[in-house]
Amino acid sequence: MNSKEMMFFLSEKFPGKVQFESASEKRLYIRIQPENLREIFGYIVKEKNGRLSTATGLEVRDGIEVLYHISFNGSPLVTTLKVMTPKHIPELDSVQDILKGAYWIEREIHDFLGVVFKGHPKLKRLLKARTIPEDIYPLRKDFNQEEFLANKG
Amino acid sequence: MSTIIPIGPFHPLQDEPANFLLTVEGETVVDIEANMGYIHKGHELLGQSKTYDQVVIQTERICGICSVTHTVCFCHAVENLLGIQIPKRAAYIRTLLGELERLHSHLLWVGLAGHFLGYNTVFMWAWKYREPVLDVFEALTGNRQNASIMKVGGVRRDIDEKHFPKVMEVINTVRGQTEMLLGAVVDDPVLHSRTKNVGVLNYEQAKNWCVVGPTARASGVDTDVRRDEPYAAYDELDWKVIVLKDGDVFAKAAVRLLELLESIKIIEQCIKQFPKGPILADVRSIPVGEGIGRYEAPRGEDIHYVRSNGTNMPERWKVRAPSYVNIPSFHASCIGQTISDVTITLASCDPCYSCTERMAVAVDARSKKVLYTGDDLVRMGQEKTRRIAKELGRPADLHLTLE
Repeated sequence: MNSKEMMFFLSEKFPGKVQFESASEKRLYIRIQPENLREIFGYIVKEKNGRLSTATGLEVRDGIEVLYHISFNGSPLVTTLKVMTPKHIPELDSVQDILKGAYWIEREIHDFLGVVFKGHPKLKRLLKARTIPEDIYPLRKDFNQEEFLANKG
Repeated sequence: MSTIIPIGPFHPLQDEPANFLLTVEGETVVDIEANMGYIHKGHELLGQSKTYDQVVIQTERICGICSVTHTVCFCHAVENLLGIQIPKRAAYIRTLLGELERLHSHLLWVGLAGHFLGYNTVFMWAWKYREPVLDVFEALTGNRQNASIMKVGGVRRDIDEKHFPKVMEVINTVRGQTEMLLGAVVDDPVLHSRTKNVGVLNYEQAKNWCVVGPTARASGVDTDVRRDEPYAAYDELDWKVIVLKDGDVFAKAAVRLLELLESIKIIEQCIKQFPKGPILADVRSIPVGEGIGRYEAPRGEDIHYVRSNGTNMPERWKVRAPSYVNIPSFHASCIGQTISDVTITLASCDPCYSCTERMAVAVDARSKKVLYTGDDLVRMGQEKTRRIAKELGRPADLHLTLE
């Protein structure tokens, strides 16, 4: 599997739903809409034998972005699905029932960025320190590091 | 009556203080829950306020054992962003140090696995064999750990070739010792009954929980970043990926022991064909973009993601260490085990060991009365081995002989 083949399969199967942001031989970045996440993620991991390496959450100007890095055993390709969700109601569909590998990382992104993964059975604190309140998200841009260090750090 | 047994937060089986709640009925585990985050250090947030050169040094502090792993993996991510190749000699230095790290990391695991089974000779001997490997590290880089030798674009300092005869001498000794350990493990009937069919993670479960490294390869999942995405000098060397089918603790131990021999093969070839030349590519500035770096750590695939905004500090840096995906597989492998088998099952995925205290206490769920302390749990594991040894008429410790 290389990125050209992957692009071919995805544009055949999901015409109009995938937007290729950048592609090199070993890395492929795809922008998708949140409502298509489960369908496209399920296709890549089940039919193309992908393995969810990890997911990254980050805050950008337009909202909160979650990147699903999917790698393939026996191939150098890492396919990244990029999903954007609004800052005021960050919500995404959970994919942990498709692949259990997403079970912890969704909890982690919920801890640090406050993204709610709909359908996750146990979306409770995993890594965030017990001294940080539930509604404070350390990886958001409005997190006040000085105040945190002065009070609890 | 179901009882909840907490293991941790401080526990020698784990890379970080982590708390596992085992729900047991009689002696059988029916549910497991993990609580993490006791020493979450905020590396990702901290790294966003450091320059790329500083982050490399910071990454060494993520793990006490995999100090080469995380630094090289971060460099891979930035080099992927830049789209550059590192010089040959730097690639060989990275390979050599990476494999030496794998040697001492696997030997550490063999020792601890022996301890949890009650084979304390294995524990003492394996750790004795590990020391010369760390001495080699010190001779080559100046430090037993945290060599501070990696840099984006290559390596910071050259290593001196006058130490190579010493490296060869050490790995030749380690080869003999590993073969002896391997022979002892394969032939010992007590170890067989203690580890075969214990903590089984089958192929489907391994795929579903996305496990990596020796944990995955023991369950028949053929994955190794060194072969899938050859970095450093791995595409020029002759070695093979060890894959076994059973998925039990025995298979995980066997994969690690066989990998030791492969690592020794790689180090030998590295030293034989060590190239001359520059050690650092010219990196002036980091442009806007994103990069993903992968690295095969002793415990499996390590992955770093870096997004740059054109300044000298990363906009976002994500780290995912291999134990992060291996630990949740306990949800699959511990259910149905007895308590005395859980210690070795938890240890079998080799969560790195940075803590030495053990504060596990078993409490009756209803009356809150203490049933077993942490020492009791290790003792139960060791007693089971002794019981089996007695039944089979074997000595109470593994029989080791070294010519």
